[in-house]
Amino acid sequence: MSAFAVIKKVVLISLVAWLALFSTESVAGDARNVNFAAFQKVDPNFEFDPIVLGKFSDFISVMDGAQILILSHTADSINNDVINIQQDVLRQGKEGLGDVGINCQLSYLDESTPESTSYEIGGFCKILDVGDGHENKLLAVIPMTGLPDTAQGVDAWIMLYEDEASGTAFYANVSVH
Amino acid sequence: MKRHLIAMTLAAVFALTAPLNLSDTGSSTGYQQAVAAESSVDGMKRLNLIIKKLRDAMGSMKDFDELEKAGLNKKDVDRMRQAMESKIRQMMEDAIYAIRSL
Repeated sequence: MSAFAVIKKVVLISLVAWLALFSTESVAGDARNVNFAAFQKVDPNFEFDPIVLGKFSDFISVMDGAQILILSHTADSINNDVINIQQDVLRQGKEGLGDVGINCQLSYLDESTPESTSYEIGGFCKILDVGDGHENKLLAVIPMTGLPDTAQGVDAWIMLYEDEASGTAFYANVSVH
Repeated sequence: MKRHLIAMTLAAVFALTAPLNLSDTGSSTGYQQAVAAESSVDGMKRLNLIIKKLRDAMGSMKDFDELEKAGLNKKDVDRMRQAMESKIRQMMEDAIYAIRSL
């Protein structure tokens, strides 16, 4: 990774952390939409960044070395919601029913106060590739992770998890609109 | 003479319609059987899908322990367990309905 790329990442992380800590521009207590995306590398040389900027379309465009597997928007999420995201295909094969895709169960916490906002998500996703001679089931445990709030003025997505073997990565943020 | 004509007409109508009716009935039964067989196959496919999802969901219950090990709050993990249990109950009801529909 070049020095410029490292500096870019440090600046981005600092910017998002600063916004998360000090900005209270948006009213705390307003329900947020939880946005979640999963990507899989198609270009082996592509690297997932820990933070990516851009609204939905720009965000997807930036990931030019990966294909999008899921883009999920859970509207008006509130504290303690359990969010289920499932995108898998059950396919009849010679050896029985196969299952390929992603299946997530995530816990969402909104512990915002009138003074500051705090949004977190954590849980697990199963990356399934079963059938047609494969029997791969990866359990991706996602620790509770603070989410960038696009209502604070920056459309940032944070990487929750990356599995290098399957080339899969999950990103998320929260938004008002 | 008139009686003979009526009898012959009735006999002719019977002779012509009876085989048609029989053949009609035979075709209808075949169709119904085919539909029933197809619906039974679809029902079995649906049941297989539900059972596979149900088995995977039941297997997921042990994955919640991993979340606690990863540092998630027990209260949050318990809420996720309850959500999964609720999904499993729903799938069991679906499975029972699918079995009854076979």
